[in-house]
Amino acid sequence: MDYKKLVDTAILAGQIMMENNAETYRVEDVMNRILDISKLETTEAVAITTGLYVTLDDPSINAITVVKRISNRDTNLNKIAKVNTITRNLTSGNCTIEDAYDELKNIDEVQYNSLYKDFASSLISAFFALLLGGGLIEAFMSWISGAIMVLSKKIDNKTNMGFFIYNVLYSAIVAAGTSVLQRYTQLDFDIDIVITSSIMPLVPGTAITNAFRDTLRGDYMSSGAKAIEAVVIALSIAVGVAIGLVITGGRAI
Amino acid sequence: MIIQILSAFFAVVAASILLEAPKKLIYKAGFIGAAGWAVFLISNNHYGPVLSTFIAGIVISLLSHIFSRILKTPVTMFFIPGFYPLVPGYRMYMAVYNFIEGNGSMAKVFLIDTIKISGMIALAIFTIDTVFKVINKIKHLIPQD
Repeated sequence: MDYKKLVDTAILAGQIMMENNAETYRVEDVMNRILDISKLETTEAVAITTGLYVTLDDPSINAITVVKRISNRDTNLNKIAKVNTITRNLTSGNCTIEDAYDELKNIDEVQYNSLYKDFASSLISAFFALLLGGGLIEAFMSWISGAIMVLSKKIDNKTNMGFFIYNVLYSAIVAAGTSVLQRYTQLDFDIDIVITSSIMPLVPGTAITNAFRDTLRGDYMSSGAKAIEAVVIALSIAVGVAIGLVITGGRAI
Repeated sequence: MIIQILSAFFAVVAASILLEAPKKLIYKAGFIGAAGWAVFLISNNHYGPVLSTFIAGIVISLLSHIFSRILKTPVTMFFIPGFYPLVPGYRMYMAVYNFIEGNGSMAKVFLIDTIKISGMIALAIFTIDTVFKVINKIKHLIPQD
């Protein structure tokens, strides 16, 4: 058996899952299951939010250890589901290591095009306004603010400055934009609901949920990292909203 | 209230699309989110927002675990979009707003509510995760003949 390929497959699977915010125990579980195919004496996989470590050892071979740094973080639930399916197939013997490795390499399938996703992002804001008890006018204004948010997110692709500054920028633009809209259109809507629903796509829901789940499993390193991530994102949104409201002078009505 | 529950459904579906959930699962996630929000709205009249978040969180976690076992997908698919409506964005915003308006005491009330609600989401996830862990252990202990 090609042990190097096996370790590479395990690391690649772990990397994809970690980069897409899977729970830490699930990442370790997937890597361990792939390594167990080798039936060697020592198989060890460690996953932390910022890195992966895998070791394979046996009296018959030279030990193989691979370390992988994880620096990008995004959420793509489809990739997690696909890695899960590929691992299931691999461990049940339905496909070879080479096939699994190739499948993992070509996992970047576009499910929804970016226009569709942008539209969904603005719709989140509109529906959140209704969910929080707003009327149709709040929903419509939130939809516009959500669209402003989507447009301001396009700056992200042009420059590269780290997520804290971006979150501050987006929420400042949305807060300022909403209060300017209210001032110049003279429409009577609840600005609190509109701003809350339009910052909803930025809110660290993923980080909060995963931080709690990792804590329960005893992965304190990962859960601590994710909890800090959630607090920092929340703070950046708060700072941004505060800046936006102070610049434009807050509520008009 | 029907409108609020329906919009919770669509908000969660839209959130699933933003998080790139697999296509066949987005409406199921939407159903879970809507169920959670309906429970929240009903119990909010009796127990206030903090305890209601816990009850709704229990419902969302329970449904997520059941769905993921039936459909054989990771439970995260339903968890992350499903909890979106419960995340205390409104209170967080109100805390910041009152802070810059100079209403320190109101800001404090909203900030404490934000922390309490986040804690309640955590507690709900803890509870149901533990229940399913115990069920799994019992399944392993019983010899399968």
